[in-house]
Amino acid sequence: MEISEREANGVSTFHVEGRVDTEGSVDLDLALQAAVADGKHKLILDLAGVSYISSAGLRILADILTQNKANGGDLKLASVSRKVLRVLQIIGFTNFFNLYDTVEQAQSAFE
Amino acid sequence: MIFLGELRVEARLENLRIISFFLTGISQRLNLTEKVSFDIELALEEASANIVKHAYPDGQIGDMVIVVELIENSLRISLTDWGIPLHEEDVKPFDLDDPVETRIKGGMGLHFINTLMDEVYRNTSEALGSPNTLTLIKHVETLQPGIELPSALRERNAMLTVSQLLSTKIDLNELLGIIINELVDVIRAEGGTLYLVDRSRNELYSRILLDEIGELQEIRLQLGEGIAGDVALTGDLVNIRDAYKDTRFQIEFDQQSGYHTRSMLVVPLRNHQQEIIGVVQLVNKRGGYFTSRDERLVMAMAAQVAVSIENARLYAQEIQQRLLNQEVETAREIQRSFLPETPPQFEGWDIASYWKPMRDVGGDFFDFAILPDGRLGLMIADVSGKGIPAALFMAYSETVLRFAMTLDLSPGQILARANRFMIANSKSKMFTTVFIGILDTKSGVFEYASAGHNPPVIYKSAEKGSTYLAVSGVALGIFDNAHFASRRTVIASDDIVILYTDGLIEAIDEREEEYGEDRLASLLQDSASENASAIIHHVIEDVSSFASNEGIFDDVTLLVLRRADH
Repeated sequence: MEISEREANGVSTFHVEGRVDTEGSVDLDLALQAAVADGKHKLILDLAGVSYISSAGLRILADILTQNKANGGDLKLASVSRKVLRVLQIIGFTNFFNLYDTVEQAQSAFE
Repeated sequence: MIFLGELRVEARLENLRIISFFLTGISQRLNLTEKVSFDIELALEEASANIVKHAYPDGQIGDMVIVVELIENSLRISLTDWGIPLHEEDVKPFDLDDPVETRIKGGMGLHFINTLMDEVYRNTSEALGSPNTLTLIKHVETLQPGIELPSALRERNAMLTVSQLLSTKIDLNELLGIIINELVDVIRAEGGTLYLVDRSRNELYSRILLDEIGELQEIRLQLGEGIAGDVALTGDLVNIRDAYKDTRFQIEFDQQSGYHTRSMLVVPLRNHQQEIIGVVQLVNKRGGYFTSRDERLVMAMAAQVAVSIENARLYAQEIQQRLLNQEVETAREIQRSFLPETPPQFEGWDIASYWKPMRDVGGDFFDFAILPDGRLGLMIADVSGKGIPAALFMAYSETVLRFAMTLDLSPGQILARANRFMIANSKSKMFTTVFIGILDTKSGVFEYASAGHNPPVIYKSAEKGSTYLAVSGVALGIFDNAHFASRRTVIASDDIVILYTDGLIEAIDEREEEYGEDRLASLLQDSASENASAIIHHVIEDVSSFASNEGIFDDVTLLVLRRADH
């Protein structure tokens, strides 16, 4: 699991590479919780490098989204692969998350 | 049902990836579509995570076992644990209308399992420490062409398919390659090698080589030689940051390949008996050194590799057994083809035969031949022993006897000639009992001789009684200068001759009493008005019910000859 963070115009973009399974989601949780703790509530998750996600990762996404919304922010998902999109659909997350084809589109949605 | 793999691991979160890799290996072997393989991977992770969290809560440690099988076109994955059973009705059902924040609670995993799998069964046990099994079934109709081989395995006539399977499906190299590949990827090493121990030569040899400098030749190391050889000898894991500072490191490999080895992680592979069967060696961790987490992961993977090797070996054995069965089946077909398909037809005669080997092949045989002078030659024989050796000797005996029968000799002379030939040409200690008869179908004159064979029973219609066609002679293949007497009788209208092998009269009942000639003779008397095949039917029925508890231990062959020219 590799996570890199980039910040621009008050929006933090996390590029995630690897499997967001039970094990991988530990790293993702640490990175996102740290950002939220720092008061960053406008977050973008670039999922182009993620081809697998399980309920452990989904719980983190739901938790961060809930916290960000309570603080007037959001957790936007960009470049979601077909496989991950299917998982989001099965669990009904596509109704709660804002999905974008590219990181740029997600960024402009924050403006 | 095709067994695809079994994995036993401690139910810990760190092992969930091992479980995923295990399944990925199977998906790749079966060439499953990406979607199907994704679905089962997700369902299995969710099910496994539930076991880790709920069957063994609060850091309790216990095992879980995953077995994967292919049944027709369905993949069956069963997960067994020995912890606290899960009752699905106690889990708050997952509701797609709930707000997102409440979805963090449980139920999500079960929702995936139930949505992604075609069938889900749960078998729980209230007693703590008893097994709980969750069975996941996924239909996998989309197997790629050529990978439907497993189901073809069941077709016993598909000999070619079985041998193809032997060469392609059991490719241990391929399976290990997948596992090592995953390992190198996950650990982020530059390369990896799997060595197996060759006990006969006290050497290690490389099975899989993955690195950035292309394929290498097979590497052979003495046990104890180099770092890998040392791990294979001591069983102690090695994790070093700079190979050049380790005196065991063999710098020649680097000099030959131009590669620069820095860090190394070398882990022993042990089978169930804890014997070291090989080592896994990873080199050059990208961007750093191998961590203790890497060590843990490789050790767990090593256990899986050892299981895979063991499984592949068992699987190969099973295939060998199937191939052997296939050969026996072929031998049976060949042997059957030696025997006459239908008895010859002669005006005024009713002839029937029965042949049933005790095992797949046997040592009994019978034959008919039309002699040059138009008479009917017939013989029934029993080779010593059972199974394949008897079948081979039977083929030989039959060839010799059939040839001798064409020489225009008396029955006794035919046996003498065959006996001399067999003694001269066969060094085996086997022997053959034979009864041979030559029938003039016009007059009913029947000339016969015996080489130690059970005397046939003849029913004389005029006397309404049975006698035996007894004549002296020793089994073929024992004495060089054996003499065989010929005798003659006349088979009159409505007379019946029954020829048999000892498997029939030596069948025993529960008191170990033999069926015997007399029972056969009296049965023949009772069925005297019936045709030849009906008589065979009665005899077989009678002996089967006589020996119903103990069974019949030998090949059984019957020939019935009835003169029906009234």
